[in-house]
Amino acid sequence: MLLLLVLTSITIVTLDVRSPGGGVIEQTRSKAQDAIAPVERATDKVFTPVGNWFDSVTNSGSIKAENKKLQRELAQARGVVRQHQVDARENAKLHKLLDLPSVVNIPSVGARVVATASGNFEQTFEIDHGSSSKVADGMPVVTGDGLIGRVISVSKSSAKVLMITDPQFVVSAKVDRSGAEGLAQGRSGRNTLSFAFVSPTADVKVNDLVVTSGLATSRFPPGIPVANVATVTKDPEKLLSDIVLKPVANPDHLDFVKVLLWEAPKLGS
Amino acid sequence: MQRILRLLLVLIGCVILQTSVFPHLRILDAVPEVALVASIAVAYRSGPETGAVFGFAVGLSVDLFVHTPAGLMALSCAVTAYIVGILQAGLVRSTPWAAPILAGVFGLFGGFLFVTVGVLVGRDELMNAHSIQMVLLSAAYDVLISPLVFPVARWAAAEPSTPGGMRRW
Repeated sequence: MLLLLVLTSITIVTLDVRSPGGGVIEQTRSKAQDAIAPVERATDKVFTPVGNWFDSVTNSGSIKAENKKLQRELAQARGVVRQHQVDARENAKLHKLLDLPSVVNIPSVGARVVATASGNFEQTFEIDHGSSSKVADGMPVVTGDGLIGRVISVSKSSAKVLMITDPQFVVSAKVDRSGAEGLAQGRSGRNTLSFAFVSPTADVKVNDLVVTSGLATSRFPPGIPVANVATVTKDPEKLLSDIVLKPVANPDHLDFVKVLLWEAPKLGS
Repeated sequence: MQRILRLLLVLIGCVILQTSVFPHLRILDAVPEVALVASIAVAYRSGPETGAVFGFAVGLSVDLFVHTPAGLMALSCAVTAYIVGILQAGLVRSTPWAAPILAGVFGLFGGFLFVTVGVLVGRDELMNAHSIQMVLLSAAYDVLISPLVFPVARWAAAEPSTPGGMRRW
């Protein structure tokens, strides 16, 4: 009996791994997700206050420290925003002149986060909009601060989003200031990303803003803020720099997000 | 038939708890593996075959709601439950510590089995210190929920009394 169950499990694993994003298993997942979505929404209403209390008990020290840090940053950010309003208007004019896609012009749908990951080995969350709202697999998901993830599975009324800090999340990105390009990838359990395949001679400094590069085959439109550079380690004996990024969007406390109804252009189109 | 219905009820309860309740009640970012604890409890009550079949079914149900490959949790729960079922004949039943000890020890085993097989099927990102930390935290959380899960799972797996009023263990 055990042998039969083990062989069946291995067959299912193989089928799932070999047909990502499609196949019978993904369709079953989609239907199961639709079935449980009402339960998730109901329990979200009940357990969110309980979960917040849990969180405050287990993380109270770090919450207070983060609060003080955020208040300082907010005060600084207000000044910077005023300065950038003029730049934003000019940028929009140039985008229009050059016919470049702009994140501001991409249609989107607002969604509420109704559940976080069910397991211990993934960083995902569920939102309350799905294919009935034109949400599709692969679409970028953003918060008011920047990129937070991409849609990985969709049912009629809900969708699962892979967070930017999950090791399976990869996005081609560039330093906004200097244009240095690389691949930003999530790092397990650390709420940070690595910025890989960056030349050691590239101009990258701590606190630089990293945005999506929007290359031809990228899943993401250009210009979405991704992260700030946290550390840069350049070793002349190594081919590539070791760069750590901190996401601009806070992955810890998510309530509302926006799904950009963007489909990556196909090669040759 | 009644036993199957009770086990099905427990299966549905495990899925709802795993997907809709415990994600709100994370401790240090970890959630318990409710399906694994229930499988261990059923195997402890009813032996290896029942435990393995229940573990496979509840694990596969939970697999539908996680991003890891389908079948992985089913495999972990089935194998862990089978081992518990084989060992259960030699285990002392009267101690109240049986539930937390089994949940902790076999929660660890099931968790490491999950990670190992996951790496073998190509999920290399599971091979890191964070995964080990999550397995340890999850096993500790399993210990906490075991006093609640074990009685329910054992009620569901209880077999009808044999003729003459004798209860089968």
